[in-house]
Amino acid sequence: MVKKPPRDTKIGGIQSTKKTSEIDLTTGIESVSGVKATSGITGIGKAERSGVRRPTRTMTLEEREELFRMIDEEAAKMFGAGGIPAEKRELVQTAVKMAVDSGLLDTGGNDDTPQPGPVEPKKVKKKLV
Amino acid sequence: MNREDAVKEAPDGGPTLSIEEANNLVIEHQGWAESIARSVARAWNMDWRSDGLDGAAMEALIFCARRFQPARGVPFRGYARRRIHEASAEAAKRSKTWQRGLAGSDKIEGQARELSAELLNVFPELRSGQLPYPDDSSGDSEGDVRGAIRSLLVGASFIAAKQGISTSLPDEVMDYKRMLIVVASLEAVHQLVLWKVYWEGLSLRNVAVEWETDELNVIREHKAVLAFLFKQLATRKQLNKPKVRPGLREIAMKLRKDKRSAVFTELLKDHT
Repeated sequence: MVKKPPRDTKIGGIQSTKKTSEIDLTTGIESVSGVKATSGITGIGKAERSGVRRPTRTMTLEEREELFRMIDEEAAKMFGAGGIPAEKRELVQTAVKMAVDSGLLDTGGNDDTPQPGPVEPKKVKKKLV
Repeated sequence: MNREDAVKEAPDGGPTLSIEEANNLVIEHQGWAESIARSVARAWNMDWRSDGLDGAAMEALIFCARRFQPARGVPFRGYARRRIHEASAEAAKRSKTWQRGLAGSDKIEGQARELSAELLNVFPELRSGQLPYPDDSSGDSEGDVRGAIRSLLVGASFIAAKQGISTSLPDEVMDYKRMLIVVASLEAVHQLVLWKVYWEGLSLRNVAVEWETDELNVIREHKAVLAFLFKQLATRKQLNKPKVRPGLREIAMKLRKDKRSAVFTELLKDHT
């Protein structure tokens, strides 16, 4: 059963100011508790993306052969486990070389500067079954 | 200074060069623009003059000089190089040499040109002589270079697979079956990134805009997936598929509910 709140009583009147009483007692100040040990770092919040990307190195024509060598090596690793036929591998390898090569500028910029040979796909010998 | 030489306002409000200044810029960079055209021609075993790359490069140079806004703080060569490369490449694709290559006796060369042209669209930094390095790398180490090359090899394999499958020849599908099986095992969001970029031809930026997310989230996810694919294709062992990075997790969760997003899974079903 819900108890009803007491009825509000009316304000009867304002009494005269009473004399203040003295402070009887002050309780002692409690001792300062010891510093608690810190808890471990629970985690690190995600860093805000700065939106700034580092400048990347531009390849030059002088690095062409080295790049082609790496393309051959990485292609051998990738296709070594089998999968696509040799002709398709050659196609992919040649295409990557062409794409990379197209961005390698000769720093001479001279019309008479002899250009290295074009990227040529290797002739793939088909096995006769 | 007469009215014709007055600084003009570009559409976005920044000042461009006067005609005289733009012409001087063209003269100054003509040799450089020609070297871009020569590099494209060299890569594709074409002649930069007779196949029209020289004219296209000069047109692009003039166009860039007229629109260049120095106040933006971007060096002119950085601004113009990609555009000149694109123009040279487009001219090459329109040439008779290119068309003959597709139908001629050396089909591999013609197909490789087509494939590399698409690869340049997926990895546009190649046009500026840069490799697709990991985001936190400057490309100074051999490891970075090899990582970038792996991304290119996987990317090129995808494009080749798509081109092969589009011929609807069963043999073409079988040639790439192992790769497609690996892709079909990826998270739906990863499959969708690869589908949109390699099958639908969207840029990574377009994908980011479509998904209303930061472009870097998509770029990083794309690179992580390519790195995994390289490792998986290079071994017979079953590797753990990559987890979705925090940037795309929300999208991944939405896509998981939509079974149609497992696009490569569906593709394999249709062709096998």
